[in-house]
Amino acid sequence: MSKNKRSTRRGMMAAFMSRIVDRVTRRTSKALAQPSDSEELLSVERKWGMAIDLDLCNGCGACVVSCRSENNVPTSGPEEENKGTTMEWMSLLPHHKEGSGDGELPVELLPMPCFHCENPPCVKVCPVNATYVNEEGLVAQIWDRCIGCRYCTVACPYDRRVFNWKHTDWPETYRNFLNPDVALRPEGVVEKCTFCHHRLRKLKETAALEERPMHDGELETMTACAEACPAVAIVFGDLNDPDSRVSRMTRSPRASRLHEHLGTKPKVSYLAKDRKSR
Amino acid sequence: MKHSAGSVTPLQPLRLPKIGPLGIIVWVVIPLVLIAIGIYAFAQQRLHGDVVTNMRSVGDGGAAWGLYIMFDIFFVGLAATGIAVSTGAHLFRIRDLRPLARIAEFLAVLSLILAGMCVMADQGRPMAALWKLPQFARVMSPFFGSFTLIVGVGVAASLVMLYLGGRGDAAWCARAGGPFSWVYRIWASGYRGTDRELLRHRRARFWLSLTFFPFIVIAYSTLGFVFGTQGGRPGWFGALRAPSMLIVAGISGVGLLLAIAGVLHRYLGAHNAIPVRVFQRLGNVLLILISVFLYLLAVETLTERYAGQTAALRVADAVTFGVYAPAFWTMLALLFVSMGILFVQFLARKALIGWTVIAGLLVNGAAILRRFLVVVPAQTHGHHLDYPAGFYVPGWIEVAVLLGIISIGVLAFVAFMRCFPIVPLHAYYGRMRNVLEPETQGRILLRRVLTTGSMVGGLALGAVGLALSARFGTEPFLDPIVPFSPVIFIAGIVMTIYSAAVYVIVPPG
Ligand code: SF4
Ligand code: SF4
Repeated sequence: MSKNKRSTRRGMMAAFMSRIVDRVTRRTSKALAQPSDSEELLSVERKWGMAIDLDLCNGCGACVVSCRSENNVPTSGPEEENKGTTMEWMSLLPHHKEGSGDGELPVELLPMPCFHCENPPCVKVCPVNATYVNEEGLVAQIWDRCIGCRYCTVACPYDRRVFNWKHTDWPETYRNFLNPDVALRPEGVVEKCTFCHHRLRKLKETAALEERPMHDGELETMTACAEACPAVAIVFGDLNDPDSRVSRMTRSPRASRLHEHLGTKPKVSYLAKDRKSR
Repeated sequence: MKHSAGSVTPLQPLRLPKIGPLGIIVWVVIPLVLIAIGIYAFAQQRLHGDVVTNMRSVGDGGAAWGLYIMFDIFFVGLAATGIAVSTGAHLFRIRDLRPLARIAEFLAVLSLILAGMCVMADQGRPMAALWKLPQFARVMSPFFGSFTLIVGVGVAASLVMLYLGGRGDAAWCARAGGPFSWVYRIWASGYRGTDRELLRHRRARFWLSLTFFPFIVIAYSTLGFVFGTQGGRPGWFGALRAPSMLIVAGISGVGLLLAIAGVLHRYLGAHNAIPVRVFQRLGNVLLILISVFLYLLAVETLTERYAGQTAALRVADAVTFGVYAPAFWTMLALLFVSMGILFVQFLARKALIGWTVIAGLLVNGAAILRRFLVVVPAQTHGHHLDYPAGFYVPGWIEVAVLLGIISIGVLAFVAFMRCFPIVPLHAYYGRMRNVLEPETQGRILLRRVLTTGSMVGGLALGAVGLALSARFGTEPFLDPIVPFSPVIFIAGIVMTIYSAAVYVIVPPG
């Protein structure tokens, strides 16, 4: 009787161990496998950036709205505006121009995402590494780690970071429309534009599955703001690819970056209004 | 323990006598009520979010840092001066400062705790801060200095100074009995009051002061770097930020010490212990500090105005002629009035205690306004882009929380004054009598080994903690190699500091 019991136990143990060994070997062989062509293509060193053509931008605000809905950014009304607690990852900032020509408004609207600076002051100051530069040069944010000290918000020269001043109570009707790909941020943390990092990841996964490189065409309108812009004023892409549209726009004589003298090296360029084309 | 020959005063420590009903209302009931209101206000802040404060997003016309950060700097400044006075007294053998050493040391410990409370009240997620900072504190962030050096190490070192300096008096209190005599017994355990022991105390405090004095300058400068290194924030960016903060810290600290010493002198009869010349000398120091600060302010203003950079000029205009002008001119007026008082006393080679106390309090008002002018206008007006300018005044939540925090300090100070001689007994009675202390060679060796071991071990631990946190030579934006290595760094430095206590407490045999 006891012998029987022991043999059953041994059998179970053996089955269990063989399953574990099987799993481990499968995982190890997967990890040790040579990278496929698509993986190699995907591992090309990227430098994601954006170009915004102010000549094309008509200040409609579609980018602001689509960013809000894509990234589950709480809506802001006049109450938030008055209180100074507006949450926006993408804003339209009125910019006073110097020496505007005849018939031109002295103010233009600058669509302002986070510039994902190459030398980001916001990252340098974070005491707990809740914001960091990821391997693709994007300035990422770990919501869960942020302690809400707001040092990054005061360090960003472009004021592109927002703090969750209060808990957001999403109305029941809204909840069904929240984007499941983007985490909801708790009260008391700082948040900012991620260059729609979740969309980029999806795009990469699709390309990997199809064993092909990502095309500049699909990257150009990858971010929600670029996709929503009716004037195609916002273009996203790889700045390391000299032929990408974003690179070409960045090389344009009309292109400049905001306050370059600060040494932050923003990865968003603005193309000034083309006077000749008016 | 006997006092020196020739002294006729019976041995009585200077501590707060029993306070009457009015005293209880002023020093106990009101602070307790304020603490309760502060807790309620903080609960509101946690329940409804920081939206209930008047702080707002930078760029939306608001200031993301307000009253809490202002007072964090203020308290750390007080602590820095407290430590400077205590260490200065031992390092440069300034006898006049010795009676104030204990007040300075206790003020340092207390101020650092209050500063920590202010920082925690400011965090969006205070509990996360308590957990994440020890795990991931980054050396690259100027906050690292404030967190590890000032709050962690500063408290440890001031505690050691307080502990060493208070052992003799604790022995006296233990003998006097009372409900807390067990605390005094622990504090004074092993204390015999022998000449050699006093020598050991003096040596330990000297070396501690020697290492600690430059530390205050470095540590407090890191707080200046929090602002001064921000190239993207006009109104903050500048090399003078750290030194001028250090000077203002000195002004507020010396001012407060003078005020406290004045109260002790006048109301608690500390005439013998704190002679008038202490007020004279500290008053002169204060005069010099105010002059240096005004010089730095002039240099700063001239540079900004001459360079005329748009954003920096916007901040300067808001401060001198704009919405913040009342605070700026009041600060200057307070400083000039205090300077006037001190200068007249300097010329007359006299110190009128009452006027010196007033000067001490006025400069503290000026220092608070200066903190406001450093922290706030650069956020509401220091934009490189065309964001609207704004304004910040603290709301009732911030004020209530802060008053609660200050009240904790007041209560703790009153309790300490009630329970322990606030002016060291030797300030009254001079050196204790020579008592021979036989000590074996073995004991001397043991003491040396233990002290050196804890010092070297502490330094090694600190270096390992720093290396693990900083990841020298690799990517600067990475996590510490081992979680909690910032704690290892702090532990190492604290252990090094505590080696001074080890040197003193090993019994002679
Ligand atoms: S724009 Fe501001 S938030 Fe974005 S990376 Fe640059 S400094 Fe950081
Ligand atoms: S608010 Fe969060 S992300 Fe910003 S510096 Fe503080 S911890 Fe880092």
